[in-house]
Amino acid sequence: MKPRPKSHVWWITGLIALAGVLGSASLGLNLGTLNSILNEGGPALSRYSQPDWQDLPRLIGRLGETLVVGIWGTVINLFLAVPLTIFAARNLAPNRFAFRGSRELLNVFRALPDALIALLFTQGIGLGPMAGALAIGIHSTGFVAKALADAMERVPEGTYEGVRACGATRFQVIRFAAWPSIGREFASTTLYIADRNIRVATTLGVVGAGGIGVDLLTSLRTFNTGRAATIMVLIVGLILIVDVISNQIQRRLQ
Amino acid sequence: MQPIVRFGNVTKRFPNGVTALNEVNLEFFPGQVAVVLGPSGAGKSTLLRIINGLESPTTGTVSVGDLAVTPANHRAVRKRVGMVFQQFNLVPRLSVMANVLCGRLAYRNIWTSLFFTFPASDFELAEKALAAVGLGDRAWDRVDKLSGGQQQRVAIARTVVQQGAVILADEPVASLDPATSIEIMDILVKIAKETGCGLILNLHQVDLALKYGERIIGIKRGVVQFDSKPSDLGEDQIAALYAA
Repeated sequence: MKPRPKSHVWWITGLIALAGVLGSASLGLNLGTLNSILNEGGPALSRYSQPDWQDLPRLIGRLGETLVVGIWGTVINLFLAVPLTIFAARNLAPNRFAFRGSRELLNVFRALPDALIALLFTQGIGLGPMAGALAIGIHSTGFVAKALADAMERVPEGTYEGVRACGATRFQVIRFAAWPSIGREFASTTLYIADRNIRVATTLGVVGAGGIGVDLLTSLRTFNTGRAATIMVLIVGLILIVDVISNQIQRRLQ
Repeated sequence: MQPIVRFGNVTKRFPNGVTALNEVNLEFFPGQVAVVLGPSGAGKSTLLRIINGLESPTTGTVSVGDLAVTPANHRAVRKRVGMVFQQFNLVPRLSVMANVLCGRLAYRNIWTSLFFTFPASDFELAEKALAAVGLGDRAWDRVDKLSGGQQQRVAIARTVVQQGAVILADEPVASLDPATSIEIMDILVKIAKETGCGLILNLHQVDLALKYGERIIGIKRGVVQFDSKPSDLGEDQIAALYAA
């Protein structure tokens, strides 16, 4: 009989624990710091309890910009994701290289956070909403195209074969077999990602990629707590509204 | 009469070493109902799927009319060859009408497909085909709302609008109950007779084969065992076909 396979759980756990202990000493991650945050956090946060509504019209405009960045990011995402989806589905890709290449590209898109891509674009094409929308579009393509390609791979082979046997071209097979079969997944994935993109757009201003994030950053840096509080209220309000709308649409779809 | 399908010394060997067809020479003719019988794994499905290029022969040639079945000719070949499957192979989330119109795709270009702008003549063909299979009133229902027998009728209507020269049916009634099987077989044979198409059927029910077939072909381990009229077929030949 073969010996029982050795378990590596214990020494890996030990290594992680050791790293944690050593790291906490140098980074100030310990109970003392946690205690002081809990003690001083209350008074610090209470400074944000009085929102300052003076600048409201301008801030609402900036909030609108945020919304637009999120929506355009989603539109760019759709333009990128739909063609990539077809290459990234094993059973529809024209060849193995197209399949592997597009899958790897999607992995890269997913691995790069929106804020990082936005930072690169603000250096390259200048500050503003376009950089934000592009960054969001590229990052979310990594998720959307993967989800849709996986859905296309789950469609039974017979569905494709039935249409193919009629003499349909690759495009016609995609249009009449793949697309209708994943229509519902497409709608709900797009809705979810639009919701997520608008939430992300609220923070992208921090790196100068448009929207209300930059106002929040300057208000915090200049200790303008009233204005910062107003912005946070606006952001939370926007997210709640988007959430309600997307839930409504989601329910209609089912 | 010119054959509509010709097998010239066709051998099909799968990568796993199984020889599904071994030097098969066969001809099929328009307006003839040919039934292929044989035990599971005998190569019946491969025989059919090689006709419209869903499988390619390892050696030998297959032609449909004057067209050799090669990857470059797939679209032209499939335009002439309708196929009905055991599992119906429809698109469940599309309407009955859209599924039937798939049979017109070989005639239509990319834009018609993209925007679903089939000409009125295609819709007329589809309506006639649906009436012929007894589903005239279900055109705009979704296919996944239909029963198995109804789905197989949609699949038959899809082959009708192809206006091809031959219909292949790979175990068309294996997933259906006996009464529905008779209905589907009646429709298939009626349509073949009305349109003058050749009909090539794989069946595993010997009684259905003898009832509907004008010609019975027995296959075992990829080799044609007999090819004769049902009246000339002895019980011993059928017993030998299914014997281990």
